Amino acid sequence: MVALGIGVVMAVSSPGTRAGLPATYVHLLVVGWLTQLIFGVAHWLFPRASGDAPRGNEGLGWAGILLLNVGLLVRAVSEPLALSAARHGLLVASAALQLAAVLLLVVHIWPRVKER
Amino acid sequence: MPSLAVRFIRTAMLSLLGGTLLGAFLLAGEPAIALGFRPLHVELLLVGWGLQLAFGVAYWILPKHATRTPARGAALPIRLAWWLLNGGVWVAGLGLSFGTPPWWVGLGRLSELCAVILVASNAWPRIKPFGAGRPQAGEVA
Repeated sequence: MVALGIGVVMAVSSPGTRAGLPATYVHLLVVGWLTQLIFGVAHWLFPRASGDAPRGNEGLGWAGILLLNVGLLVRAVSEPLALSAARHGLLVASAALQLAAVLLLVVHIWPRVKER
Repeated sequence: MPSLAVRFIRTAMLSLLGGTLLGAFLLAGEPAIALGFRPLHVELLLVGWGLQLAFGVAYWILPKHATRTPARGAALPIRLAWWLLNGGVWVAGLGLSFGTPPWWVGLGRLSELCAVILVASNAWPRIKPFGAGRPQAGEVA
């Protein structure tokens, strides 16, 4: 919804005022919606990890979702800001958070992608 | 989960990791070098991750054929699709990143298209209303 709202803002604003918004729009849709939805459905649907912990290490999943959303929020705030060293630092931090999140989520789901 | 679905889904997750790592490099690396890799970043995440994961899950989870074997359709075209899709991602992504001639990028896209046709051909007859294709009472399967 936030991404689509940004899409509306992009459509009605002048090119000079929407710098950074297209990248924010794409990342909110692809990371915030698509990737997060995929990991949510995978957590629910994929074959059980084991009898003791059917959904694997859920702590990894929670940490991954937390880092992903914090990274996305930092990115959404910093991307449209004017070019500056501070903005660049925030963008790099958001990328590091998202990379760590993806790593945790992949490690969490990987053992459940298996042949029966 | 069949082994081919495992192959698609695990490769999709590796593409997600690679694409995200490249995304971090785009922001943290030397802009003159890093920004050139943006097309590969996009290709890995949209096709290598999103599309490939959808293919793997579809091959696994769509209704099986009720009366035909193999129940998920022939495996060979799907195995071929995995090679075509991943080859296409790297050929097109690296081609766009390094400014190769258009025919090279076209080759990558054609490879991806062939993979899509193969997977769609497998999935199409498996997308059907509940109970369709099953032998009716009194009918010999």
